[in-house]
Amino acid sequence: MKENKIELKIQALVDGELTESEAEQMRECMDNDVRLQILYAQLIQTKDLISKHEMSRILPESGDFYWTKIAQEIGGVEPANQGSNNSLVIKWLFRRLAPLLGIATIVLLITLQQPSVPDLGIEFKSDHELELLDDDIEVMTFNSIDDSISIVWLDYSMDLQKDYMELWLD
Amino acid sequence: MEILSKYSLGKFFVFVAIWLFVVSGVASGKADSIEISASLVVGTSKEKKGSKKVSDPIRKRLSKVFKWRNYYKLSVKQLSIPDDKTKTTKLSKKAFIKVNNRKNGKISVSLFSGAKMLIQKSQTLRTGSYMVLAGDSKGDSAWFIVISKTN
Repeated sequence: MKENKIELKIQALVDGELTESEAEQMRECMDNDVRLQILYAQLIQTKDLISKHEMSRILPESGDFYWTKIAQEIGGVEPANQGSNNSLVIKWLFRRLAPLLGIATIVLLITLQQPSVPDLGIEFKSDHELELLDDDIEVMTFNSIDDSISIVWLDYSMDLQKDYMELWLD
Repeated sequence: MEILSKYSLGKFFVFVAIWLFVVSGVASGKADSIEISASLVVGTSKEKKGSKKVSDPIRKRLSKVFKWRNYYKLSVKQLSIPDDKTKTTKLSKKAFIKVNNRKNGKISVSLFSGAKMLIQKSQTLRTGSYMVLAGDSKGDSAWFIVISKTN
């Protein structure tokens, strides 16, 4: 592992990527190790070979124009991807919402077909219950609007005792 | 000292929790009662000086509906009825009512004449509102049983 690191440093030295102090340190290291010296020489040789025999490639346009074209190509690809993403989202939404919209439409149609109850302006606020046990007795009821009084009038002559009645009435 | 104060604080909270539990238990265990006033009233066109008149709100309400101008109390009964319980009270020698507390201010009143039950009326009775059962009486007069909530 350490050896590999040293080899990489030698390569960096060959490429001129080390600082002055690092380069000095590597040189000292190589002075004491023949194997490293050989590696260094091989790398120098390889570098020379590459630099001498590398084929030069001439750009059809100027450098700036060439890179601008590449940037334009990249820019053209991105919106296309975005467009495909949008269509996927729309498809997903449509797949999810279509059944719901269908149900909502059916419910709306059913609701519209229901006969509407005419509003007579009558409010049933109270919870009055009346139970009459004698069918012969007629009953009339009256409730005030604010429900502050509810009256049940019975067609029944109550026999209030004479001692009461004679006390109050002639 | 710190431990002691923490211990005391813990004890205090436990005490408060127990106290709240007990109080809430007592409160929930206590049955709500409804206070009912039932009056037997006679309505007449004749005025009787020295007679016990009904209160003004009752008189005003009754005279708005009925032809009689004078309303006198024959008897008044106060009832305190716990939830889901029924109480009976006699208003005259023959007439009596059974009042059932059906919770949340709703009552059910059964009117009896002798052994015969005439009618049963149920409704939610608010404080300040009246349930009236009425009918003809001897001469140009009428009887009214006026029931109101007093609590």
